[in-house]
Amino acid sequence: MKVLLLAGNTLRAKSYAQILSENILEDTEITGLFYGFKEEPELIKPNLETINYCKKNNLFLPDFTEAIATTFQKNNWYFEMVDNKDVNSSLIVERIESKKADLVIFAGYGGQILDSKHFKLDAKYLHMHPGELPIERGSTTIYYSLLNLRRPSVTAFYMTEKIDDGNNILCSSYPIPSKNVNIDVFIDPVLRADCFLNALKMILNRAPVFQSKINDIEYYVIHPLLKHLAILSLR
Amino acid sequence: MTGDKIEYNYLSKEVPKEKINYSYSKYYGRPFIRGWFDLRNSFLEQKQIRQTKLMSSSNTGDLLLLWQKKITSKGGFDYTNLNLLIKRFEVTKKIYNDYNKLFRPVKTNNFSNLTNYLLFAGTLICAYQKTEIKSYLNALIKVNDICCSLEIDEVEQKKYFQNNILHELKFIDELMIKLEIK
Repeated sequence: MKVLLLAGNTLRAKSYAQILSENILEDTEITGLFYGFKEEPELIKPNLETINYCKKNNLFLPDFTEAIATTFQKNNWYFEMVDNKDVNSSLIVERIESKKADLVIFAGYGGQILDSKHFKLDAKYLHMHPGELPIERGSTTIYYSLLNLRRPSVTAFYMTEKIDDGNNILCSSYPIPSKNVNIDVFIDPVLRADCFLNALKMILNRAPVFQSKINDIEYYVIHPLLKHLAILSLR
Repeated sequence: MTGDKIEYNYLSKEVPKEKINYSYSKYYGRPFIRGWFDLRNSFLEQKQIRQTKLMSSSNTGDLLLLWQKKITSKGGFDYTNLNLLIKRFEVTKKIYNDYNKLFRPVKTNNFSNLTNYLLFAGTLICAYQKTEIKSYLNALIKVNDICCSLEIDEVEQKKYFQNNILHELKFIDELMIKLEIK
């Protein structure tokens, strides 16, 4: 299977690249299309609580100081860089089409929504949403999970033009993080990467997909007050 | 930052024309919460929730009052249109005098009617009381930020606004108890 990582310069993209690097999958060719990049070193180190959470739950913890290009170079994976931050630009869509990938992994910039041009291509687009679909649709859903006293979840699904809609491959839920675990920087990309790897294995094994029921509750960018309460609720 | 609280800075003199940005907010710990409580309490003249009414002055206001009545009545309420209005609000951070069937504004410059924001907050209060769905609480805090940013001089509007703040404070208190946050 030919897999294309469509990546902005994001922590999520680094997590996906590094978890692939740690888990070589047979019959899988990995390529990359990196857009809107300025490779600046991310000098972010996890705190002890974050390290312990990942260790305890057998979760891969990426090294965010490693550039995504470095990960690809180490593995001799081909990648291309495009100097355009608009994921819906004709240039980027043409480059995606030229790769003739079977599966595109979307790891773009926050708030970017793929338009219909992408879904006219032959490839399927895989996205990992940080919430259980369909009941936790929308934005910043990991915090709403905590406010609702629910375990944080990630749903891997094939994207369509509609937001958080499409056939689901896998929904994984994880233990509620303890106090001081860094949710924004580490836990969000770590959980998504874990679900991504397992979803990719299921896709390679031709596991069946399942359809989400319709749900019209949607969550929007969490208000800072509620974000604070979600974080303070951690023990 | 002063002492053990920080000044709450999610207000703006430019609302509702300019949006308050809530994306990628930083975490400051308990001082932030204290700052928010202080800010909200500064608008209150009394600590008790009282029944208040506010007359509508637009089609949207009429609709919001109708929804409040239906949500609080014994029969069921279809939240689809309220959810759609919330979606529009979350994108634009504006409430318009008039909407079409898809809840797109009929006139895109008619968003300055304070009563609409107050009644929207009142509707979100009813919806959250009934359902405890967090997206209603989320939108309520944001619309209250808008109202806190504006000058409210008219007596009935001021009473209604203070009542909205009291409800919001009660919801947050209850949520903190539920989450065992001291």
